[in-house]
Amino acid sequence: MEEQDNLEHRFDDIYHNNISSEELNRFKEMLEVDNELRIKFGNYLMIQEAIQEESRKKFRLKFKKEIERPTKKNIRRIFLRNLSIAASVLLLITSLFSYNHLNYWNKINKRYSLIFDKSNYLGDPIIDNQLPASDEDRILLKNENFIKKGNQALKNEEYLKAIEEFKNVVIISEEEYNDFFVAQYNIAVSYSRMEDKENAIATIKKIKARPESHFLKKEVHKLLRDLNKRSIFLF
Amino acid sequence: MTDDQQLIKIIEDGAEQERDRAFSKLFRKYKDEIFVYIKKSVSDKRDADEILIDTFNKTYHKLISKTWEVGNLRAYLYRVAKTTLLNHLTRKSFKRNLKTSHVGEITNEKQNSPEIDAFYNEEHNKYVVKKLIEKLPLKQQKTLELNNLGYSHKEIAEKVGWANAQTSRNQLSIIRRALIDKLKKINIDKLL
Repeated sequence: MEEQDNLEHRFDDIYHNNISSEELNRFKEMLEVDNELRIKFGNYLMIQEAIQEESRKKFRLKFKKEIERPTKKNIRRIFLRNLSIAASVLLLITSLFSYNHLNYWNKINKRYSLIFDKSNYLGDPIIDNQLPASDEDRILLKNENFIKKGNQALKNEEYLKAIEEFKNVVIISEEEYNDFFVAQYNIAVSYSRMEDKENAIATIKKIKARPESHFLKKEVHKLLRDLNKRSIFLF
Repeated sequence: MTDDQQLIKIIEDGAEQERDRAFSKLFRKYKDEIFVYIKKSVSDKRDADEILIDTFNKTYHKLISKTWEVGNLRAYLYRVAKTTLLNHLTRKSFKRNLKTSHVGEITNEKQNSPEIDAFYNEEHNKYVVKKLIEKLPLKQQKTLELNNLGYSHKEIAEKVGWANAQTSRNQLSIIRRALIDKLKKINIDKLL
């Protein structure tokens, strides 16, 4: 028992480097030849390492924040890296917003096409003195004339002229209002083509205020929503 | 009183939270330069990190044990770092020698001996030993820890509550022997 105690005491001295270099070398030589000593010292070292690892673990846990804090050199590097990332993101966002702003009207015009190429009202308008006598038919054909003239103007991209023609289109009856809505829709979109947001919105509001139910009301609602958006936020 | 001395005073006299906060400031202040000092002698970053932790761990325990002698903390840290570094290098050379010299053992002695196999499986053994230590009474755990940190048996006896230095020494022997015996038994049981 005493011999074991002395041995362990010696191991402690070696572990904590409390011996001279000559004694240390002598001990290393003994380890080479003494199998039992080697095993005992190996066991001792293994226990000490286990204890040391646990002690380190406790310390790391206690002072985790300080240990994980980067060094001054790394702080600078991290700061520069973060700065360049932030600058890149800012540049990306600025580019995106600029692109959106510059392409605002292009996007609006692509999304909302004019209704004239599929219209039945193509071709030359009927001459006035050839219009029918009855009021309703007369108005119907007058509407048709205005739409034809309007469509011709749209084909030539003469939006102001088209608007003037379409403005003359009226509601014929409670059941006959399709032409009116088509004309009003084309007026709104024509204003968009001219990048006249104010008048486009005014026209749309007039359409939405109508009591009749028409599929183009949904379309103008979308157009209104897009016109009300800031140019940079139109995706 | 310098900043360091003020913080040391708080560490020595303050409650645990205040003490740890004060030590954190010291750690933050000196961590980088001590690490640079250690890294000059050690190529492996992980080893350098471990030596850094050991240095500050020892310093922390020194301060909280109130055995700190008035002096320059910075100089003390460098001294402890140097000692820890030398110890680390010495132990590493021991481990290398133990491993290479064991290669001969396996060819000469009975192969597949549970004791030799168990001895070889270092990581497993360390893991088992850690688990066994966790189950020890706190007094015994503290004895092992303080011995590992380099406290003398007289200091260990005072802190832990053993009768005297000899008792502390005896207890340490008993604990270590019990750990090895339990470890051997676990490894043999595993093989059987």
